[in-house]
Amino acid sequence: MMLTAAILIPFAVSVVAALSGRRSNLVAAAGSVLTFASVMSLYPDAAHGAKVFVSLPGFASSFGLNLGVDMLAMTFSACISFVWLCSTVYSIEYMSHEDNQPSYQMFSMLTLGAALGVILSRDLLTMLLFFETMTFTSYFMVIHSRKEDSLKAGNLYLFLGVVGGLMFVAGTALLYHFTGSVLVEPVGELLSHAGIWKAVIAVCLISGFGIKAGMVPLHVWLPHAHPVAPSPASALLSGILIKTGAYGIIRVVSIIFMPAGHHHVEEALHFSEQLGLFVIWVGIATMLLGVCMALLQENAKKMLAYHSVSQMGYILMGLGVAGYLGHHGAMGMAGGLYHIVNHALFKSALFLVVGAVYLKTHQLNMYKLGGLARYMPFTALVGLLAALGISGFPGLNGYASKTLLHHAIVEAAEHGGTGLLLAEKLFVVTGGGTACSFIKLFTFVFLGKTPEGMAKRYYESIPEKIGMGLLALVLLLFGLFPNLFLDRFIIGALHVLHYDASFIEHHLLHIRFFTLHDISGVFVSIGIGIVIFVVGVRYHLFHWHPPKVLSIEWLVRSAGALMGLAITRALDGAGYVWNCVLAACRESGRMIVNAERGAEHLQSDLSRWLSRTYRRGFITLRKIDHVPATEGLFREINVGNFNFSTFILIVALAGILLWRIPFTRLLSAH
Amino acid sequence: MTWPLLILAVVIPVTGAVVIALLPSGDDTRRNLLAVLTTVITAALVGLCVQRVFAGNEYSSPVLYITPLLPLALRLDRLGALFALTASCLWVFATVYSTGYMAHEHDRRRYFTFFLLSLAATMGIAGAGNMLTLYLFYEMLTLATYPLVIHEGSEEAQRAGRRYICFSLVGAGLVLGGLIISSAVFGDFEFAGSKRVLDMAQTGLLSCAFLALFYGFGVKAAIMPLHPWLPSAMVAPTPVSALLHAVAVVKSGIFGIYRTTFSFYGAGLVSGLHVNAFMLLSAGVTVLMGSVFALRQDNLKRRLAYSTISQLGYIVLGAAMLNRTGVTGGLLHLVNHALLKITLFFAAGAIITVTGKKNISEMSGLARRMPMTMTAFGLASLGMVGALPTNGFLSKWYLIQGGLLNDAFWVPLLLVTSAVLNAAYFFPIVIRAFFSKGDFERSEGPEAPPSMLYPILILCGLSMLLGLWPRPTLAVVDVVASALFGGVR
Repeated sequence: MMLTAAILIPFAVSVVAALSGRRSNLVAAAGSVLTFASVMSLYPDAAHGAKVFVSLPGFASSFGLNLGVDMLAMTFSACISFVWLCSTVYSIEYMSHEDNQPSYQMFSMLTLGAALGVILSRDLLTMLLFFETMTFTSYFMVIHSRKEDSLKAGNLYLFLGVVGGLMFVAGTALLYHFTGSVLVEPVGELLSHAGIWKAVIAVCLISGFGIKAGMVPLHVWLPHAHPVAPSPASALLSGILIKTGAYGIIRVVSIIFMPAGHHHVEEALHFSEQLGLFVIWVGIATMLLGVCMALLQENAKKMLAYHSVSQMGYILMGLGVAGYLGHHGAMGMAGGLYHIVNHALFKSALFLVVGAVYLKTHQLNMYKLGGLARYMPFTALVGLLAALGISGFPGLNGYASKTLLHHAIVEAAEHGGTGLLLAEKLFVVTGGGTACSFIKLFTFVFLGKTPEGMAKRYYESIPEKIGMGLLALVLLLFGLFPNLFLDRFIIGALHVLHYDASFIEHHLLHIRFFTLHDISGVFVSIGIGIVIFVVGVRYHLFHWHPPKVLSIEWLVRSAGALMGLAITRALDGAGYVWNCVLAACRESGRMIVNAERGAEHLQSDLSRWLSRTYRRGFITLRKIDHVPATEGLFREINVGNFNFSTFILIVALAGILLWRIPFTRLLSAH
Repeated sequence: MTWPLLILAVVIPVTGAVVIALLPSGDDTRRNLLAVLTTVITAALVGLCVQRVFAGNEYSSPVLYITPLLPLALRLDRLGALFALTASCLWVFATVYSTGYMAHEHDRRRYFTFFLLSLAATMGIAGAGNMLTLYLFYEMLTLATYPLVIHEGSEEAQRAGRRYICFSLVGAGLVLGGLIISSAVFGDFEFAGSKRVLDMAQTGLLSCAFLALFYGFGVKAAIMPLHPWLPSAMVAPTPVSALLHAVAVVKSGIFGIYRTTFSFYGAGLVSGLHVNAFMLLSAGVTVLMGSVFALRQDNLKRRLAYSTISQLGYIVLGAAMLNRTGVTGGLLHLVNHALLKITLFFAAGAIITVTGKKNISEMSGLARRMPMTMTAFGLASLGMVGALPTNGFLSKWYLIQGGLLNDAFWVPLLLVTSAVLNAAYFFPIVIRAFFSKGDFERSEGPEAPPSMLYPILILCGLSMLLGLWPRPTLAVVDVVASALFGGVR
């Protein structure tokens, strides 16, 4: 009951918000509180391992709508509805400075409902339904300002979203073909005879979700789409919506690679190991590329967006380790899950902070800001906490998940080859880059001197403070008591995913986070960050604009342009051929007409020739019997003087003679 | 004695057409009333028949022998019932819409006369009891729609009309040839598909005959490369384009293909002939190339026309799979595409009536002037792409599953690619209309005459409803598909 309510409340509130004009912000905030409450009311059932299902047969597809909640879904939906709550409360102030509030709040609530729907779906088609709904409704959040650049970013977002949805369709259809099931449940053993198609299904589904998750190289939309939206929306897009992609990937991997029973475990795990290794490296590439691009941005929101790409890399790496280590991959999965939640918290907090700054100063270029800590102390405090959180400072939430991830990659390196040792080093370096970015952000925005021409007084409104404060509170809570969330939520989720129970028991339950080794590791990262920052500022490295040729977007665009050109050419070619065919048809038609005319000519020629021949023949024949009227010599030697029958007789006789006389014998006698 | 109902479904539109032709040409009120009334009555009659057909009764009229070898008969079975119901219901909407659209056009009397005659021909096709009757009504449809295509009377319309007639006649010739050969082999024109057995000696002959029938009907179904008449026929008034070129004419070609494949030859026989490679190839090429060509059209109606070509390819693809799942998908798409495409065309017509704009590049900011129409357009194009909460999804799902049953793994790839292309040529229209800056003013009062706006909204709502609650269509289509495969589950 509460399950359906959790999804229906946001959808219902969206209608109310659309109709309530200027009060829509308040309505939406109330709606998001209600949603959060109804989601949390599911916790007791989910925590006791009771799986709650709701089925509405006959809706939307032949499989009906199937909803359910387990601990994995609970973890995600709690995180989503909480961050949504903070962002919506914050938006009461922020959106009152923008146009079209009802439209924004309507689509925000619709997106909340759809995102919860994705998480709470029990079969892939229901998930697809909500997934596509989410793509379309969140599109309206991206293009809220209706400006040129937001429309452009929106187009890319929409197009890639649709492509992702269709990849999802193809993958689901193939999966259904081979297993006869679309349920979100492990069916690994049914796929053992699918051969190469298993990999195809995995690629289709994972890239379908990967587009949403901002996985390199499918992330191109993200740095464009997130910054152009209003800040509360950016917080949601960057903090939450990409997590639905991560959730999908986790689910897909568990569907495809986890056997329902314990048959064919070996084979399934072998494939999962290879895929896991691949995902680890994709994750590393994602985090490294993301952080490098982030360092070069001057637009604060764009920088945060690139950090989202980078942080998704951390998460992917965790999931990759989980796949790589198979049944014993609980550490990687725990790290990934924890980081998903933590990233949602600090990234949305950061977006809200930057949004608050933008609201007052109308400036997003961090080099043109400064000294705001004096005028906006609360915002600065939240900004500091969130920046420390994302850098993994002990005592804040990022520390816990990064530690788990670090453990995971070390474990993987111990299990596997030396290559993963390099991965571990890259992990630390990326941490340094992240720290540097946020030192930069905080220093340039909140410290230093206020530039000329900027106002010296700012007002921090109550809704802003509540929204950001709630997030900061949870950040601190998770940071100081990291086991709290781990034990309450993530361990349950790990059990849902069938990880080795004894491993979880020994290595994760009551894990000690604040060991000297781990803390010193973090400080190495932060030290690297400070070095990069100092060097970067000293030598103006942050203003370097990488040549376009290096960007994936450029590659994609030029590949697209090339393909477009090829298609156009091919089409022109096809059109040309087709025109030729048509012309040939026309020509042959003309030829038929001409032939007809020709035939007429021919006929007349023929008849003329016939009549002429006939006439000549007739005359000749007549001449044979001709008795010329003239006298003399001609009369003597004319054929006409022979009797015709005599003539025939002579010819016949000659023939018989020729035939009878044995010339050959005469000749051969010699 | 229930068969007279069926004959009435053909006779009533003809009567209506005759009466309209006899009315004075200035009497618009009565003509409109009569036309709408005729279509409503026809639809009601068809509905009555269909209900009984699905209850298990068959309608068959006595057979009329032209010569002892050439029988004419009307008989409504489940496949025919599905087609008749779809066509007659949409005809009602189209007629209502026409009364609004044609108010500013010339020669309204001629228009409505032939509009109703086309309805009669379509009902005849749906209710044909054997291939010969089907062929006769099929020819009648060509002749009845020709005056509608050239309605404008301009040079361009004349040319389009010539093209239409030429292609149709070539198609009809192919159909006739195929019909003669196969009736000589089978010895009848009956829909006895489930009883046919393959005689090895006649495989070659039958294959040729089947392909002749397939491509013959394929002309109307706009299988590439027999499609060029369809985009050029878009010069016709919009309701005509909507109804004839998205629903009735093209769908009667599709219907002919389904009839030939499943009723006349039988799926077993066709799969024995090994011709479905041709069918699959043609359908696949049509699906893909139709979408690609649509990308480059700036004229809205032409873009819709190419989209139609591509979507018709889906339905043919369903037939070509020769399995129940594929046919279910094809028939679902027959209904769903009819609903969606007619909505899109109606919206395009409303745009032309209200603003006079025909090109997409002139439609920036159009939604400010016509928000409801453009919302309907947007939703319908979502359905075309096959996003899940709309009805376009389910048919694609079944088509993909049908393809996979045949181990045709390219089918999902094809459909997904085509859907991406669909998105690429539909969404820019919607985005441009809603979010680009343009010089359209916010509308005061209704955006199009109510007789045009309501059909759009109702049809759009209907397709959304069938998307969210697909049980009724799914149940009906399932029954039809199982009937086509001889009732085997």
